[in-house]
Amino acid sequence: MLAALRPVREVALAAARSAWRAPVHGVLLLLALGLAGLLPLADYLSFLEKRRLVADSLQALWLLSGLAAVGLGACRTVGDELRSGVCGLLVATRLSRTSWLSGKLAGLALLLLPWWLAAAVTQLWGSRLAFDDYRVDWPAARLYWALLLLAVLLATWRAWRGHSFAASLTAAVSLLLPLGLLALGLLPRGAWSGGQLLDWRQLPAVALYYPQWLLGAAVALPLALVGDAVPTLLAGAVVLALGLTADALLSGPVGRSIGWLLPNWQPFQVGDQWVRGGASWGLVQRAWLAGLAQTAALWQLTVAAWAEHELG
Amino acid sequence: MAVERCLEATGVSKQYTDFWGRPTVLAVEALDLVVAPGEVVGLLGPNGSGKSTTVKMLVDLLRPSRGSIRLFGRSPRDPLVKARLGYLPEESCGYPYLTGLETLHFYGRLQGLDGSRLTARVATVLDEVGLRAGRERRVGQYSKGMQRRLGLAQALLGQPALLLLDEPTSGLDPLGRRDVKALIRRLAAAGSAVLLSSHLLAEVEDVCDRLLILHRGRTLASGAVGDLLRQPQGLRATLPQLAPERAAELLAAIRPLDEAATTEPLISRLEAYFLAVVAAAGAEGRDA
Repeated sequence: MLAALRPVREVALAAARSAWRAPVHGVLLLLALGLAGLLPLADYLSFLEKRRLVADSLQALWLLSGLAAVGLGACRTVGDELRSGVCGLLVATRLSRTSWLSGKLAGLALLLLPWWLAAAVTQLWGSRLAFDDYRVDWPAARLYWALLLLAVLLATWRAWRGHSFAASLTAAVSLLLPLGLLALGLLPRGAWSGGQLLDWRQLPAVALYYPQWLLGAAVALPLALVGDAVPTLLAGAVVLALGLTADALLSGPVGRSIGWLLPNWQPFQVGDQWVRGGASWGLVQRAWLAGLAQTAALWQLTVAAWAEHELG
Repeated sequence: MAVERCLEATGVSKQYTDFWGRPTVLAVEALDLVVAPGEVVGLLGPNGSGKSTTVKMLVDLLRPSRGSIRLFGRSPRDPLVKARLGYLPEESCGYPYLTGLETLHFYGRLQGLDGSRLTARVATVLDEVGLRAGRERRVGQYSKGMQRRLGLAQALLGQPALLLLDEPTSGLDPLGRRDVKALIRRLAAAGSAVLLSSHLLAEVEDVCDRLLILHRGRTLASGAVGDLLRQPQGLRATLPQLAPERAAELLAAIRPLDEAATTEPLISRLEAYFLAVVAAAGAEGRDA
């Protein structure tokens, strides 16, 4: 059993490594982290709603940037590999097609782990920055930006030494930002009264990013098998939009049946739950199971459709 | 005891179709092909003659429309067949963001090698294809020739009994081509069967025992290289360099045998001349 999984592991590791090292991955991660640092500083002109708006906007930011990362990763590791002939070489001499596809899905899942970590850290960090409706916690903001700058400098130095900037940046932020989050506890809180420094109730929402991204990977995978990057991302966006509006658009028994066939992101949107005091871990568990089931079903369809596909 | 045939294709045709299933191009028509251990067989033909389509059918990337393909007596889909196969595709073979060494370790692990066996085998094939110096560079930074060498290296990793090489010397300089041709001959001498496709006539002539000439998917000629190239109506004698008056005497002596007899100076092939010049320059450099 374990021996049979070995090729899948190898393909997954190579796919993740290849995707982490792609320059576009570094640019996207830097952009997401930069926006995640800026959003809590924005003046929302809203009374007593700043924390919710910051949490919501960060949630939207990470959902979309994670989906973009997985879409680009699929194009990079699947589409490019098909066109370059590496896929043909692998399935001709070393692997079954199912192993190759499974490895690619697992590789995309690996690619997302640092994104998940970055999302969790910035979501908590954002809660600290937006803790007060009228003021910004500047020491915490300065620490975030200093660490991000340090990560960029480290990655640049590594790139100068011949390593990948994107992979170095990923490693640096995965190390520095969690350490910074721990250090936040040592920073002065400012003039307002204490309360919670970090809003841990956001963690259930963060936990749900991952199954959403996995579902995105399962959608992007078959698209990348047949199309280039831009059509893949556009078609992925259409499926995402359909999934987000499925409940509203598809009513009645027939509509709901069709809705079940779409990757539906709505069970993962727990912003409203958070306003009411945070999503329960039971809801998270059910949403995870639903996400994994949908991902597995899509992957199975992809495997079946691709089994007889010619690789000319 | 009958010798096992590494590859046997019988009446293989490939008809491409469009999205609606309508026939478009007949890429290969009724191809018969056999490759035995220790034999180097060449598929020769211009661009679009069906060489790459044939190779892709042999490794099960494309499905034949008609005919049968057996590798080691089994279907190309059989995992046992894949384990005995080395394949160099026409395109590149590596991940642009991995180094050459990482790429070979990746391919080796997929072939069941690990630990010291993998390290030793990777070192061996790097030496065989002359890529040791570039092994730590990312594949995306490789020249076309280096990518070809990397492709050959991965094809050799599993010590395959049958090698399918699609344009193996494409992008290589003359020195690289010479090395690859020598490598192919060494592999055949060690018992491997090799099928290579190429549109470079000299390459096929130099290394192949037998060849098939394809044109628009049809086999125009096939057989042993020596048999196909032999000209029964002519004879060439090679002599040491002669003074002009001695050459004239020789011609006068043989002219009564045949009025069409001629003499002409022996002309070297450009490739041989180039290799000799480069080798001489290299020797001078070392002396200096």
